[in-house]
Amino acid sequence: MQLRKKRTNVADVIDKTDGNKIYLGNDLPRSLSVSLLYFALGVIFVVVVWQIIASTYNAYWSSILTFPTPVEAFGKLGEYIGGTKFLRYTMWEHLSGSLLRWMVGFTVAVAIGLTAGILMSTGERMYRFGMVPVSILQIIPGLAWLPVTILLFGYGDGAAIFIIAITVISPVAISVSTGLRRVPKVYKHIAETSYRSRLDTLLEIRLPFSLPDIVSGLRIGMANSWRMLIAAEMVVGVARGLGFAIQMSTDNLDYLSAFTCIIIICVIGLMLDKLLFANLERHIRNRMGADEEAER
Amino acid sequence: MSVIEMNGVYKSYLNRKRDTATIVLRNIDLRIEENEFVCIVGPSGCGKTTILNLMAGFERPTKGSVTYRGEEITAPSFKRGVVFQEYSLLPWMDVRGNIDFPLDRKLSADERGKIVDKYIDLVGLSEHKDQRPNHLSGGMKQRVAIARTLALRPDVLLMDEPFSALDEQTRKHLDQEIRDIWTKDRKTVVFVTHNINEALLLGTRIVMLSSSPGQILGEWRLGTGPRDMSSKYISDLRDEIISKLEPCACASAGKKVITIE
Repeated sequence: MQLRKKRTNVADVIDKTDGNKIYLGNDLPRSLSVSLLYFALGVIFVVVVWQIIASTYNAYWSSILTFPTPVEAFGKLGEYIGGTKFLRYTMWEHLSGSLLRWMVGFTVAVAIGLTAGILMSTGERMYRFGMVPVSILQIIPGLAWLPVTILLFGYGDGAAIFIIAITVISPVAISVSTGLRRVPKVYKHIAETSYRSRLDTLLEIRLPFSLPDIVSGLRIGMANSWRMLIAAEMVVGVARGLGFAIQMSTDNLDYLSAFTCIIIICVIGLMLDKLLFANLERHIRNRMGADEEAER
Repeated sequence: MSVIEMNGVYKSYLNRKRDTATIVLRNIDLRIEENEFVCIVGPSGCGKTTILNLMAGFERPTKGSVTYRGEEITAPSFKRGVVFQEYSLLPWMDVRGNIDFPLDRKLSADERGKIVDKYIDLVGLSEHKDQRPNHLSGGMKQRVAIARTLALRPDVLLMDEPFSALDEQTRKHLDQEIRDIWTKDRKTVVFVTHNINEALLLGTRIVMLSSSPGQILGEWRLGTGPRDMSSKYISDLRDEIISKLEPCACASAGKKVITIE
């Protein structure tokens, strides 16, 4: 019993007023340094696995090609970050090209998804009807839109942006309509017995109430589109961008450069998800009073 | 002209399979006059809340008419303010924001601020005006809800068991506050409760409903003055109301359901 208690991470807190110990369960401590420690351990694990694969491959597998090791890849990455051009552009230019495409596609998709979600929340019939196209969009994999987007936009930026946008619309429309439909009836009644218009009510009660749902929809959309962005750049013929760089480097047997792009994609994607969206979600939960309630 | 008038009102709900209907209200005739404080009492599930919803305009009667100052009620309006049974505050707004939201935007922010502060004062929450609902007790939340409705200066106040979720002590305290507020400005109030003592303390008239389907079983007038809750008159009245309530509560244990041909 004693042993077990020592092994679990028990957070004991002394209540200052009467000195009683309050048992808070065996939650892991949530401080930033501890989070960073776990993050670092996870990264080290991935890098070690990579190193093992690379060494094994280079020693036994192939005599012509070399599998880039983490040390080589990070070295090369440093060089590229320093400003060395590859495939006519610097790493920053490839990255900004991709990010710009992503932002345009994401923004357009959010605008469409938000509008669709609001329309779908106006009634049961609208919801049932709207869910059909939304489900169709959702089930078609992004790259399957290739013929459609090439027909509509030809090869180039427009085609990539279309593929990015099309994967974001559904999760946003679903989360917005779900959130709006969950607004308790009593809030509707309060709005109806007030001086405020339906638009005021949408902006000041219904959308704020739905924010937690909306943000999780945005987060799913972000993850979808970030993956689609890279895939789209590989096939729709753009001349600058991370997906293009991976494709071209691989074709040129420059695996090292391809690997540096993968690292960048991973780092930026994690930053968007863990820093931007996770913080946004936490902030909104606090605003809704969810965390405060949990603490009380 | 009555403030609110219900004439031969029936309300029934179709069941999910749409082949049967439950009758909730049967042939309700009820007139709410100017400056009355009408308490509607009855066992739970007897349609008290439905009556209030009809008066507010959230629902429409299946048959019969509900009018407000002679006009058919077709939609809710700020003229008929409602205080809800459940906690209805917006969790992301502080007390001031919650009271400010329903107010007319034709008023300037300054004017609205004055109204908000006045009603926060009225319900004694001046020290908590910047707090969010999560930091307030149940009693405080309902006070904010009352302030929010009063700040709209409604013509009629409709209250749907506003204190039923609160402990006895807090409820008594808030009943007294409601009584004081009403004594000051004599607004027309319809107050739904299942608590007979609450009705005896507050009402100038008590209307009793039977359960399933709701029908008016009796009415008692009490006058407008303050009342001594321990007096013989009040305790006799309480016994009379309870004696009427008990047989009907037993008799109607099963819901009245009809089959649609």
